[in-house]
Amino acid sequence: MPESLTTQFQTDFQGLSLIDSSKKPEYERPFFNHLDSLNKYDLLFTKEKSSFQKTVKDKFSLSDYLGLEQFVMENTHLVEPTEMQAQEIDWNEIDNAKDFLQDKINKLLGHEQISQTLKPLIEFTIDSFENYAIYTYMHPKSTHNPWMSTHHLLLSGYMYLISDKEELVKEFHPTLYGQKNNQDENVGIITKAKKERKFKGVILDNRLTIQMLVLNYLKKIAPGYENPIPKKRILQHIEEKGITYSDSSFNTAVLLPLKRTLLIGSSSRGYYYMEDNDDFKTSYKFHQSKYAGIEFTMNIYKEGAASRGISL
Amino acid sequence: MNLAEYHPLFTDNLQVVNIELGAGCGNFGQIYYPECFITDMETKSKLDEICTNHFVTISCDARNIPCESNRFKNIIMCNPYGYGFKDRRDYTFLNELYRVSLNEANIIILTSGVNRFATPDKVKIRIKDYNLEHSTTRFMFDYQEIDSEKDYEGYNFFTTNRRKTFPKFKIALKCLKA
Ligand SMILES: C[S@@+](CC[C@H](N)C(=O)[O-])C[C@H]1O[C@@H](n2cnc3c(N)ncnc32)[C@H](O)[C@@H]1O
Repeated sequence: MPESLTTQFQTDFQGLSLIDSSKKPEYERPFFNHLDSLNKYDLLFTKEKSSFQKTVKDKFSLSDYLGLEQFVMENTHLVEPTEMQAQEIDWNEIDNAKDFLQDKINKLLGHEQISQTLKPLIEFTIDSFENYAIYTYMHPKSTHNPWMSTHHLLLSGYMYLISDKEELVKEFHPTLYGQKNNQDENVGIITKAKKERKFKGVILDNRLTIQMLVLNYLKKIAPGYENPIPKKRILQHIEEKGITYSDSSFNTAVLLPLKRTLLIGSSSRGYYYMEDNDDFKTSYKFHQSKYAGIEFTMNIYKEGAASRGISL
Repeated sequence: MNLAEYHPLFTDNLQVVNIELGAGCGNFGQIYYPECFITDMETKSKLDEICTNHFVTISCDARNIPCESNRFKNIIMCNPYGYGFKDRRDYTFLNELYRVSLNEANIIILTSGVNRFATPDKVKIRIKDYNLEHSTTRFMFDYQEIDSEKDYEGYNFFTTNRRKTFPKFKIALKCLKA
């Protein structure tokens, strides 16, 4: 294994410090990106094999999370380029890096480190690092590592815990479960910053289940670029199942992650399930034209900045 | 744990000396090591929800088995996940395995090369450290590659979210209590 990786971890942790206070916009997106990236494997697998029937009532639990973790590690070929064989994992080196992280966290927490309450949070943070490291050993240059975003959060000074144990979540954040939109939401994400006994958090909605439902729906009624359906119709389908999403959160929580799996495509007429290369090319061209539009606007800004003497 | 906390099935069926831990919806132990207690941490009602069929008769944490010491001849685990050999210097699980094992008991673990709870490399390191800690060989370690689809044909292994998994290694620990 590249020696640089171990040194890299140690250098990263040497400079680690806890952030002064957690900010929701800073931690919410990385967590959802993390969960979306894990779920991507499941969605891709569903494409390969027969689909798993999901209902909106299916709660996402910590067992599902652990199951996804195991599934991802054993099936990196679903996402990593085929020519990239998984490399050897040096478990001893990972143990060393975990020890290093543990020591650093103990130092940063000072006397708080002995708190029994903090134990699961510390353990989850180190476990997430372990997963990041395992994946990095297997695929050193990967851009798909699902723990990349949690690792960046750690390096930005956050410690965290994902749990479906209501009592445990309440110990950190007594009112978090009061923010539930819906009875089925039972997974809490807790973050800790520098201040003692100060935790923030967010509840995970059932976006992962909805992603699967929408994928199955498009597969059935919108196969190929010639059969797209508008977003309104997808939202209606979800609403019939008792779930409401605002237009913008539906975009970020469901459509965007699905598009990034390259399983669904879009055009000005709506969304469709990508079945073949033509579907792929059509969606690529659509995004390319949107990109060209943005680039055109950016260039106008750049010119405007130059003529106004503003440095960007 | 005192005698009153032992599970009655363990105390009443002393002739049964095999146990499967973390069995989930499976019954590997019953098939390959009959007569065998099938256990998992999940409650039976939860397993009723998750599995089309399950065989668990005792819900228990693998790290705290409600039975007397020196109880089992074969202890089986398939794809341990959520418990196992994850962290250095955490000997809770090994201590429990040692406690419930009979002298020369076999601990059989089916696992993959990327399972951070029980990959062969990791288990090997943990056993070495554990033996050193006790200045004696409490467990001997061995493992072999397997082709689970062939070796256990017709048997399905699952992750905790019910996706199929295919263990690639069989670890065999022997417990020495002379
Ligand atoms: C990956 S599944 C494997 C299930 C089954 N052995 C198989 O191979 O199909 C892991 C199982 O371990 C159980 N488990 C997790 N933590 C446990 C613990 N501390 N003690 C006992 N079982 C546990 C889970 O409930 C789950 O059923």
